[in-house]
Amino acid sequence: MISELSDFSSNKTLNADICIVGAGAAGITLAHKLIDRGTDVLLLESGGLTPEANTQQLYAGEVSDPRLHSPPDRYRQRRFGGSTTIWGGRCMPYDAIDFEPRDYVPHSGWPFGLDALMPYYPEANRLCEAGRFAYSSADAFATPLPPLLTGFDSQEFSTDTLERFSCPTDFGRRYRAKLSSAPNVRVLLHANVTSIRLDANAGRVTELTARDLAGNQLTIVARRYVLAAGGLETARLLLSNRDVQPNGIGNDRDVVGRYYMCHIAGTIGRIEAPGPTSRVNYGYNISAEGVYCRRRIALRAATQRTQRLGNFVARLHHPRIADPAHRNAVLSSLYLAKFLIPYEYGKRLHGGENVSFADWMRHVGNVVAAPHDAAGFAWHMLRDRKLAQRKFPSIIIRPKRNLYSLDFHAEQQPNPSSRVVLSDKKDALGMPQLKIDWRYTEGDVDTVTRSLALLAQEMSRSGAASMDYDQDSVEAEMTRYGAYGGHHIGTARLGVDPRSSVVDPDGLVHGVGNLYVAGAAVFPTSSQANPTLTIVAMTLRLADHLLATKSAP
Amino acid sequence: MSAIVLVHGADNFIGARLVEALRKKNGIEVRAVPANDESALRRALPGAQSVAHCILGAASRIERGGAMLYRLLAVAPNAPKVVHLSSMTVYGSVTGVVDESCAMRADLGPYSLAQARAEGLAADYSRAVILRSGVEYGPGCATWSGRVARWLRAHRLGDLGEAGDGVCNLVYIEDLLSVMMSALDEQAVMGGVFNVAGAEKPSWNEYFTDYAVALGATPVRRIGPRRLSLEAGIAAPLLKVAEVLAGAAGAGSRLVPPPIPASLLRTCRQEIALNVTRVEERLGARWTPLQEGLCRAAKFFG
Repeated sequence: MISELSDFSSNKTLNADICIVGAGAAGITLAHKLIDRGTDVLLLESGGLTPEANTQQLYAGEVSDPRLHSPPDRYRQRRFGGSTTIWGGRCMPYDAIDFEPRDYVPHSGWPFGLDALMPYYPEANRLCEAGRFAYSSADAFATPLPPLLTGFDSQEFSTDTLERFSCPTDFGRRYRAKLSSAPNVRVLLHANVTSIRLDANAGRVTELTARDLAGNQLTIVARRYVLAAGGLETARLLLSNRDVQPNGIGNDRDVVGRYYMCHIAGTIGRIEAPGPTSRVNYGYNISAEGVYCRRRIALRAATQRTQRLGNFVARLHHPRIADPAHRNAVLSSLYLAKFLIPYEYGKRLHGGENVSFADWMRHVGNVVAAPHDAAGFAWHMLRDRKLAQRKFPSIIIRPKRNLYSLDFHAEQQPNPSSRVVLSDKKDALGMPQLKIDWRYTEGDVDTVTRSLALLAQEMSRSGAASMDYDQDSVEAEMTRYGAYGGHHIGTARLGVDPRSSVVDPDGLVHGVGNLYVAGAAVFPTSSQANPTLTIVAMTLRLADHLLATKSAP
Repeated sequence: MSAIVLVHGADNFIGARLVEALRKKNGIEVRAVPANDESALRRALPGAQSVAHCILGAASRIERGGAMLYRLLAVAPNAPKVVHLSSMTVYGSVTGVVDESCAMRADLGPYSLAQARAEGLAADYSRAVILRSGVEYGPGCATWSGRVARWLRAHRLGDLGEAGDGVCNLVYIEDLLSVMMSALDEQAVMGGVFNVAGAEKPSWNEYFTDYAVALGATPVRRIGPRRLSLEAGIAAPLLKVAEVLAGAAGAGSRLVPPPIPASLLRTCRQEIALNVTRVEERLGARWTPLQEGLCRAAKFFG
């Protein structure tokens, strides 16, 4: 059943076995998994079924350096389905090495390994509608694919691992009917949690207060509570409830909000491969189940260890769109039509860069020189993306020559100084806003710098391609667009030691016997992988834990 | 097993397969009777120790066949055991895990109602065993393997998203036949009702996807709700008319793409999972692994 908070008389108390705060990837996954499992579930969602400006405004806040991080109300959606409503759909699991303590990655190491998540990844893949859990081209395709980059054979980098793409699945739209008809699940819309009340010993949550923007208010009493509000909002909720624990819930040791990670990403350089364009196959392949898959150039785990580098992947990419020197009609069309592209996609596509009138005219000239290319691309995007149920994931340009740039996506190291805190400003419900102070480290720069150098070396050694880039511009390029948007990781990290973590290996807030956290907030490290698939897998693991301990006091 | 077994409905696929299987056993006389041929049924009944009643097809055919058999049995000098092949559609729109004690809603249209009525007659006849079959698939199964293969090859079906989240209670044809043979053989189950469906319970999306892959009908297409509405609401009635006209003209209905009826789409959404514990325990049912069954079906219809 799906209800509005205002459907209930104000100040009423609702009871449940499990109250989930937030109906995004984690919250919906958890509620979905608990359907018909003998437990009464209440799923609270701040927003409604469609976007609402006043609700979205509750995400507003500050950033310490606007060049390094997007505003807090961007890349997040406060509505049923959460940020999956604007998700790009890229799925891949964490690698085994991501769970290991690595002395060259400070504060790394999970209290369990990849094997603890492997039972959950296939189901997570299904929920994300990314097909079979097959993440190497050898596993996913019955017949071998042509080489990603002919002649590139490296001990340091693999080209066999895949990323698979969801439709992308808007969890709200996709699973709404299921949740709505589930006899044991109630979804409450426009229910903003404004207080988490602890007992006098701070050992248990006794109740939540949920309010809507019209002033209606309910009390929620559950046996167990799960915060699944996203990596930023979960920290905000923990930090802003200070009536019993003066530093915020679970924050005796000042860990909540710290270790905030996104990913380090950018586009750099010029890669040229010899021979015909058929020697390079850098775009998408469609698996038998109809899922778009793409190979990446991935730094091998053994090399990460020997070279003491963080995790790193790269893809061949089109040249920078804003620069008309590419002389490509499609890229120029995209630049000229940039006002049609949503902020979250446009930021890394065209970077919001404005060009001179002369360059603008050169873009026009590029389009005029090859209008059929631009028209063909427009038709492809209309048919295969706009109208398709399973959408073509991104812009892939078939170049006339083997000229590319390199798009990289790297692990960000956990860093206690990279953090979110409460600001002095308050939102319409009286909740303190967030202030984001995202920081990267020398280690992050080192991972990207040396991985790029190694890749250039390997391309040259193999004779597969030449890679030229300005080594002095690496840090500038990896921060050109700031922290990778939408990946909010580590603010309530998981661990066994309460001095350096917020939740235990089951996701239970240290010292608070009935308060759990789900989502990327609990990830101790960021991997190279986009987080959604692992959010879903971790949430399925949490669901099993909640079911296994259903009768616990 | 009884020495004389009558198969009523031997002219349809399951009946014919059962006749074939029974004839491979020694010491059994098999009397194959086409569905609803009253004079043949009347002639074959005397002396038969058991009857396998397997009428498939339209609602009217099912109702008529059931009425005919049990009317004749009421006046028959002997009282043979009857293995009555029914369908899970008798449960109607029920959802959840369903065992045999669940009341029959039979609210999914004439077919489910006809099956329920025929079952009612079987239940009144005290020597019947009722088998509520799931979705029969495998080599030769025209409806759920052959027809689906045509849809998948034409990319008219595939991954249906939310519309294909329902539970697909597949039963491999050979497994169903084994259960029917056991039911004919086992005296202690007289008067019993059994759900018959494989232990694996894929969603319809999984069934369509895995079967399409086995058929090589790839890449599997994602079919959206708008397209499905067009198929069921507009294309299906037109194709049905074309099918009838083609049949009447002697051109063969296979020339016409099979319509995707609204009832199929409703089935694909239904979250009903047959509990098959009873048939496993009392009739020793064993299930062919889904992938193996799909591969065999794909080979047959490939």
